[in-house]
Amino acid sequence: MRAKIYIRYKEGILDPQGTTVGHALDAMDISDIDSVSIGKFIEMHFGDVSKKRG
Amino acid sequence: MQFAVIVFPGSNCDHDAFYVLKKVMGTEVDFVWHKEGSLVKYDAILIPGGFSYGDYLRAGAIARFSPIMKEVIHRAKAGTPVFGICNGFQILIESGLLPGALITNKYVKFLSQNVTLKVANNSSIFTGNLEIGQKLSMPIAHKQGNFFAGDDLVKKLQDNGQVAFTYSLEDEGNPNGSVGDIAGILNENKNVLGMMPHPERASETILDSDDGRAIFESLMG
Repeated sequence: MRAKIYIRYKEGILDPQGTTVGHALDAMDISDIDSVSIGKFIEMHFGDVSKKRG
Repeated sequence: MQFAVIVFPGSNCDHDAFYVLKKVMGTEVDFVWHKEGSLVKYDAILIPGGFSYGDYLRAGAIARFSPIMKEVIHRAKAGTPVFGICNGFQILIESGLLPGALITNKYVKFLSQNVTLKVANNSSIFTGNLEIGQKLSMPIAHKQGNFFAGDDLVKKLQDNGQVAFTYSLEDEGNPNGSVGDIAGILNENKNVLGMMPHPERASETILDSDDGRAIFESLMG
């Protein structure tokens, strides 16, 4: 059983890291990007359990 | 000798570096904002420590693309001395001017403490005044200072005399797990030096150690 967990800010919360990366991309002449946000991706593998339990 | 101290948003060791160069070493030095395009009038470039761009994405990863870096890379390739301290070292690695990688400290803690370095190379412009094995005491302040390189690269750096400083195992030891106990490295041409410890915080005896001054003295000939 594998769980893929994406963690990101809630809508409307300012993401300074994402905003800064967005500005840097702009400075590198990559300008068609409306917004950038950065989160975490966690993957868990666990034994044979029901989807509900997992 | 005219120095440029590059300043990125988030650099915070620029003033210490400026102070050592101007007041302790008595040389001409300017702050150069990261958006400038020219370093023509400078004989040497220093990239100071700090948290450029908040260490966002990865330490030094965004600073590496700042406008001034085109000029820094161009001058480094032309042989101008370029000295990166702490975040400066991270930026030099991200920009490809130095090899290897700087990853999170082995015990995943920010370290703010004194270390003792051993000089491993004394044939570069930064280390010419020093003796092999000479010990230098100075502080570190970092969480991503763990130098990593594959076995082949480590051997190459050691064989080529590109390892500038190692952490002295018989003193405080290797604080962050760096492979080969490497604290600072040079490029192949020996005109670019990156080191994690802060010699600009150890250049006056009032700060407990002035061992760092020897590196600036070497650099200024």
